[in-house]
Amino acid sequence: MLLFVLVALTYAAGSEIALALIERSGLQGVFFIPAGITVAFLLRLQRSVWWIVLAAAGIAEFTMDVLGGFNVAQALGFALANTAEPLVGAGIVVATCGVLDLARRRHVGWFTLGAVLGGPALGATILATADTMFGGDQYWIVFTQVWLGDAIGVIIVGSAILVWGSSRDRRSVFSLWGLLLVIGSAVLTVLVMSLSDLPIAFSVLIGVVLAGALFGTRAVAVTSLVIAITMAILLIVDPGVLIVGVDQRVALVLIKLQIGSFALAGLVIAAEAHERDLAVTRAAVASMEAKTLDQERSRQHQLAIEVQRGLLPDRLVDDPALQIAARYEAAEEMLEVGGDWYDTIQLRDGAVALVVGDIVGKGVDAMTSMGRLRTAVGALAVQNPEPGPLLEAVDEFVGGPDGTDYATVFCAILDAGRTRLTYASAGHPPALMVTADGVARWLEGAGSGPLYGDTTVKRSQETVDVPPGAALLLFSDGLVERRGESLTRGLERLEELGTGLVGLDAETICDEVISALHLGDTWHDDVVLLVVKNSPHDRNTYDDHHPSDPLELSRIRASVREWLTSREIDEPVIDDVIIALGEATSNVVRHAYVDGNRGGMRVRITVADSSVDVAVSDQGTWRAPSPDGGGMGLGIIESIADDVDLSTTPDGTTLRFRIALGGSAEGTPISTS
Amino acid sequence: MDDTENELLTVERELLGENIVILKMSGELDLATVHLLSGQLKSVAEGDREAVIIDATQVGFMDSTGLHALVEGKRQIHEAGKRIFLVPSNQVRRVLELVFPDRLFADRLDDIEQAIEAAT
Repeated sequence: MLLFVLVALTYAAGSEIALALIERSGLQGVFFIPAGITVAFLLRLQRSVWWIVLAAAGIAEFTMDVLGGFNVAQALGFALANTAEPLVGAGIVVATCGVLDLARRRHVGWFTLGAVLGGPALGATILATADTMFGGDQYWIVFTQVWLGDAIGVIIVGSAILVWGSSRDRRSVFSLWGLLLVIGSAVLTVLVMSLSDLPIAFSVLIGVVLAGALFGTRAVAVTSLVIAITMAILLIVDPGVLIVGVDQRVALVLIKLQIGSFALAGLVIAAEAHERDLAVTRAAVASMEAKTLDQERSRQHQLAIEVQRGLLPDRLVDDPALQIAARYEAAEEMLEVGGDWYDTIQLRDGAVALVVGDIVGKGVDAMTSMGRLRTAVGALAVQNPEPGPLLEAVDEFVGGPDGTDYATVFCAILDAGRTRLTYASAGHPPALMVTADGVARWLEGAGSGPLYGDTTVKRSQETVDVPPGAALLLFSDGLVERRGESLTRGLERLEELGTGLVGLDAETICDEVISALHLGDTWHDDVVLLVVKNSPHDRNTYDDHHPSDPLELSRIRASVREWLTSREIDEPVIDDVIIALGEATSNVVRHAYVDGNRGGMRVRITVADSSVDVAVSDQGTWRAPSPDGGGMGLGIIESIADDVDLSTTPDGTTLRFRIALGGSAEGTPISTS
Repeated sequence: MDDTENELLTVERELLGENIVILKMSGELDLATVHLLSGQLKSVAEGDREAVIIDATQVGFMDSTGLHALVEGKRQIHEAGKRIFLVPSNQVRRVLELVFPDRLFADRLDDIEQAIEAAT
């Protein structure tokens, strides 16, 4: 009800103003305000209440017309025209745009076609027809005047109402600059229309264009409204401001066209600007979304890499006589991650197994397969301390229930003396040995096909000497392979690095190789690199593995004597260390390995401030000292050394003792000269 | 590898006059070589010479297994009614004295001449 009253009153007021304009100017009104009001109400309200709006408008029109002296039939015709018009106009807009948004280009188009041109065309047809029926003789004049008047009413007043509550303009028209623009446009309108006979009213367009480009739809509506009102007032005050030289009616049509064009141009520009803003915002949002997606991908990639690293060994064999370093480099593409591994395994006899492998395939499957296969190789190596038989055992595992797809494996076993390497390859690229003199040698014998569960395949093995200071490089094909290049070329590139690696420790070798072969920004494939260097002893610690063999004893003594001499230990102290060490190592050979399986022993010697500390360990359990000198040997050690300690654990036996630097056991003081 | 030498130890057997055997050792006496000395001492004990001089001045290293061979050889030779003399290197003397502070061999001999003099 409230709505009914509101619409009716507004319509009546608008109608009164319009009629006043028509009357005062003696011309047809510049624009018919009620047309804009009704259609704007419809477009801002739910369709369920349109009937109230239309009823109010119709009754108001009818009432006004009857009060204005028209007969009932005419008044009914006018009322019909003024309700059918907004209904059709609003209907077209709602059908095409839904909720109207004049800041959208497409909506401006449909608003123009439907509400501005379509509806008023219908209204004008009805009205001109009614007028003709009741004696009017100027159908086309009436039609054109009504059509344009209503159209401008809709585009000026209607759009002003429609965008009034909108706060989507870039700048508010009710700011200093906005008001200056509106007032400036009004003043300009006055100037160009009243001060000159020239048809330069088009210059007023500038104000509307600025409003559209810089402010927005609401500013356009307000500016157009102000210009239209200004023009109407000017026409009322002085109809002579119309374009001279043409018929007044034609001039009035032109004025209407002009105002309508201004408003439409302004709306189009405002919509265009808004669409651009939207596009920029959308692009920003899209780029943010893309960034988020990238971050998500990168997070998943990171996760894959973490899982892969988690499946790789936590630590490498800790053997101070060897330098061991390894690297895993993840493929840049997430889908390429997975499947490569390295491992080092301490074997019972003091030997160390070195393994690199690659599961054929990528992704999560390859990763988990790799985890299983790595563990299996580690376990099988203990029972099969020979590379050939080991690969055969692994092949059997690959074909078994916990098996994997094809896999390539390079497996090498470095003996306890760290001088001989036995290796075998199942479809894997060869390993490279770089000796201390810079000679690079490929370990490319003993090759066979990849592992795929065929237990009938015999895997051969080969043995090479490993000179002191030699570095062994085991790797997966990702290290050397480049797209569009043969594997041979990649291997050559690695070989060329050979001399440059001399004198570097294992960690540095890893870094050098990785950075030298990492040509592009990324790795296309996963890369593993395992570097083992048969290292010379460092300054303060002698640490070496030896086989448990009578013939080795002399070598151990010579090696330790040489090292102690280089450490400038006094000769009598060295002699005593050698005597005690000779007994300890001889004990290992005689007593440690009861079952006839020859194990190794590890000799560690540290030069401390006041003593030489020696530890000789094995992986066996000593028998009770036999009478053939075994007991005598321990007695000798005890009479020379301090802190003699024999400890046996399930892992083996370690004999420790300490020989003072300050003097020999004979009590003869060392000369202080 | 024959009975008298391997890469670590050489044992040369010389005869001095009618009665004396000189075993001249050079190298290292340990688990890998001790059988060379044991064998020679056993053959002396079972042979017809009545004295043996072990020249160990060129032995750079002897461990308890070597010492055990000396002890065992001395016992066999004494049981055969024969005499045994040892001319040790410093290292050998050091090991001997660690285990037998009261002397395994009665005479302290510093060189082969003293040994020959004692044996004849």
